Amino acid sequence: MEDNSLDIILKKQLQNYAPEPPSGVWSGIEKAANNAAGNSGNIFSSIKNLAWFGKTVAVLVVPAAVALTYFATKQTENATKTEQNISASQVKPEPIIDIQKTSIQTETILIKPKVKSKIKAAEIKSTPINLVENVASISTTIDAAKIDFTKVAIDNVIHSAAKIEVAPKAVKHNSNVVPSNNTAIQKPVSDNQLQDDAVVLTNAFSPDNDGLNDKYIVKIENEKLFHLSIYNFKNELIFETDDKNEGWDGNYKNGLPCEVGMYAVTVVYQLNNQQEVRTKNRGLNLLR
Amino acid sequence: MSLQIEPELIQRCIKNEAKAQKQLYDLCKSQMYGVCVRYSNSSDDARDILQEGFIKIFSKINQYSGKGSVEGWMKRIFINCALEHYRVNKVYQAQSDVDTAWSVGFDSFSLEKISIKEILEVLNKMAPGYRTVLNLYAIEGYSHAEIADMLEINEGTSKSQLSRARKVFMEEYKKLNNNLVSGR
Repeated sequence: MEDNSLDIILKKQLQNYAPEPPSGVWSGIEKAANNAAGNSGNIFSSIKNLAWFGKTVAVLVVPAAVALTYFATKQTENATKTEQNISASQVKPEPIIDIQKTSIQTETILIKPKVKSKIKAAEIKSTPINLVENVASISTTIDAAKIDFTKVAIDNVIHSAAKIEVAPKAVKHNSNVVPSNNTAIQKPVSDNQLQDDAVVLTNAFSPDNDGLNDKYIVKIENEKLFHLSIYNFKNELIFETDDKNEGWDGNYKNGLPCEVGMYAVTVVYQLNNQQEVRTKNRGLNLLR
Repeated sequence: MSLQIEPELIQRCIKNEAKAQKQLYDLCKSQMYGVCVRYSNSSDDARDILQEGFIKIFSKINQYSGKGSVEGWMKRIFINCALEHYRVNKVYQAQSDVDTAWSVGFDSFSLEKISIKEILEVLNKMAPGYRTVLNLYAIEGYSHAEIADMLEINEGTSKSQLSRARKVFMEEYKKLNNNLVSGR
């Protein structure tokens, strides 16, 4: 990184930067200034500016004025006190804003995958036992099994707010229930994983007319809705299409070639077997 | 660039004339607000610093020696106000050091096209310590000796803070761009 280039750019851009300040500022300053003027400031500064003969007069006048103001302030003491308090509190700067606050904002994540999980059936191992002899024990173990299932259900709800279907049939004829860590539970599948099968976004392409990867095409099948948009790092829309076969040729709308670098791809789509419209994002590296 | 401030206006401000104060404020507010924005975390902070600064200027204007430009003198007061404002936040400086370098794909980004808005956004996100040194050196044009004196640090610290400040600036700028593309 060249050290000076940053300095030069900063100086060039900000040296004469003069935005309009918010409107309420002056009233705060005015109050504080009046407050200061109402105190000692006025008397001293006016002495300074009196004409040469005025100084001698001032010497005589000052004690009188002091006495006068003393009595005057005493009378209005309560009134001025409250007034000063009010203006003082208005002038007070607001508490300093925590910088961490601002830094957190930078970490916004674009995708929040909804996690769905589904327990199809619990597989429980069983071994045959003598029913007549063990009636009591069977009922207790089944109860235990049920408790285990609710446990599983709660765990999953906590982790992923999933929809869970428990098949009670599985418990029906079984005894000697194996603890829940042996039951086969289908792992939660994130939205991203689901989408990976249907939509394929590559992360690089090279529009240099060499016959290899000259167009950026999204692979998608069985879709009823498709929209591809490409943005540059300034969040400007560079390209968009509803045709999955069209693809981006790496040029601006006016036909000029785009710079080498990173771009953002957003695909909005809906497959024939899907109820909802989904979005998929990816960074794209343009190479030449 | 420089403001046309009549000496007479300053004299009237010294006499505490309300009209003159308002005149001086209107004359300088934009330029000084620009300074405040550069040295602050947010526009709210910049507003506070602007207000504090002008209050200080009106109460201390009789201390203005007449040497050097009024503008420079005022600017210095605003910078000092900003420094005071963030002195409390010094503890946070160490935390922002952990920001590590960003993915290789973004090294091709150049600064050529950076806008004022983006620069300010990045500056506002930087820790006050780094931002101050970068401002003082690059924009105000102070020397390391002068900066060391203002911030009560030694010259070597000023130099190392500046080079780290430049790195942090680039990282924050890349992060700003990256935010859009990070699809994960």
